[in-house]
Amino acid sequence: MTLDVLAAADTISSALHDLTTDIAQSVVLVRGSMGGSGCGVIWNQPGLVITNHHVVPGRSAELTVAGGRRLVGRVIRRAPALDLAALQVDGELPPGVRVGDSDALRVGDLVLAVGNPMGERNAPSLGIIASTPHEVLRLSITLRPGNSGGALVNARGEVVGIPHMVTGSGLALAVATSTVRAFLQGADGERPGDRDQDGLRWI
Amino acid sequence: MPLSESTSGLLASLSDDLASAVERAGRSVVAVHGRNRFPASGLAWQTNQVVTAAHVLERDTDLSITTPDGERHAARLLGRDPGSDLAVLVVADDVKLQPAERATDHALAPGHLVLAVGRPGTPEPIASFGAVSSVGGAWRTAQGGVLDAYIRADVAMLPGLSGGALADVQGRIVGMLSAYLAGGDPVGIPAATIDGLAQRIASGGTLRRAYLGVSTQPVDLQDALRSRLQVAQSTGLMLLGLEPGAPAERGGLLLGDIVLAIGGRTVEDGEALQMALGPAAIDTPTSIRMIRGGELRDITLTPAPRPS
Repeated sequence: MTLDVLAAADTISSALHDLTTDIAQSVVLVRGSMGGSGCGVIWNQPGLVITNHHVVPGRSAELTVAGGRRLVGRVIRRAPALDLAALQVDGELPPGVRVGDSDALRVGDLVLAVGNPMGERNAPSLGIIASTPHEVLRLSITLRPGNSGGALVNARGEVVGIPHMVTGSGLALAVATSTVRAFLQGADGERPGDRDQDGLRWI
Repeated sequence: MPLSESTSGLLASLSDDLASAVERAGRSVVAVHGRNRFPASGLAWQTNQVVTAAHVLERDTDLSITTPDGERHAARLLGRDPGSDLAVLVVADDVKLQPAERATDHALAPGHLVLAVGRPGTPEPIASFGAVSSVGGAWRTAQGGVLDAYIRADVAMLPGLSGGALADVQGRIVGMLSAYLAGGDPVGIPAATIDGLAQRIASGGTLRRAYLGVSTQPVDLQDALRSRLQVAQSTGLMLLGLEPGAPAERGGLLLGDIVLAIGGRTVEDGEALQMALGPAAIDTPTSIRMIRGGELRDITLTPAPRPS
């Protein structure tokens, strides 16, 4: 093995670490007032946190930002069919994420999910885009309960999705940021279909 | 903390390379329609020949493929080897498939990054990513075949990836994927091994298939019936057609019989039936367990070689 090869692998490992610590600044822990827990992503609008509808069943949620500070977020909008909810936070939030173009993703593109799987704060999971992107992204990645509402970023560190469901076969789904944009502009999506019947479950 | 230019640049270029590798490998990955569920994948091996996983073909006729341009073409089964889970299909000469590019310049070893690329009826390929876990040789599979080499990798076996490509990060094919040989985990059959097997299948030599002359449909078994007959399986295969003069008819099987096991192997669906009719069953007296008139019956018959 040449030194160049070792150096490349080492640099990629460091890059993944940097990406994780960078995005972790903008991922919050979310505890719903009626049970449920997961993550939320500090969006690129003042006081706005995006999470999954199923993570925040109540009217408000307790958010823990990087560094451990706790804030209260009020649910200002939700779309159960899209599994999205928007929280408004009155206190000061860390900087928001850069939002990427989920429609530009290609099958095979690297993605990194940062969330709270099995209670592991800001744990990264590496995967790839598994099929052509639509309003929901299909990912080949290992996610666990606690990843819901977290950040899915591309190799440039831009958020491209909000992970929310898994199947048993190493496949997970994330709500694409194109869908989040539509949601913030007022879209509600269609009535949820029978997605549960495909062996999918919330994470 | 903003990401440095070099950090995001390196990852972005790796990401682009992977996406391009999927695209490149995908040019030789087709959809294979040979079962009632969603399609599986296949690999263009020659301009008119596709290799796929034998277990995804639940029937021997009425087969077709969808090429990357979205066109569907009829395909004929040249032969199959359930032991190594490999089957060879041929399409008309004017289809002009793009044969898989092989990775030949370096030996694959544990730790190498690989992509699994399939096309289960979707317009674009599907893919998962991982590292080679092991590369082994001379493996007797649980299905009774012998592979002279195999590759294991930690790629996620997404539904429909069987028959698809295990590719290197440049999109060159290192093997064909099977979820059948190791209980659902991915196994890659190396390209050189496929060459040998495909040649034997094409020449019809050692990979003949046993033949009963039946058409079947899986049926659910009522709980009451199962408990009365002490049968564990929840489905069996009902006989809907019997070819005149074929082994099944001569051996005394009747329309409406529900076959439960062949040669001691439970058959719950068409896939299991195909797997039970390997070359070892040809001209070998084979026990058939079935339900007839609500009672268990066992008979013995002798499968013949499949007529060409």
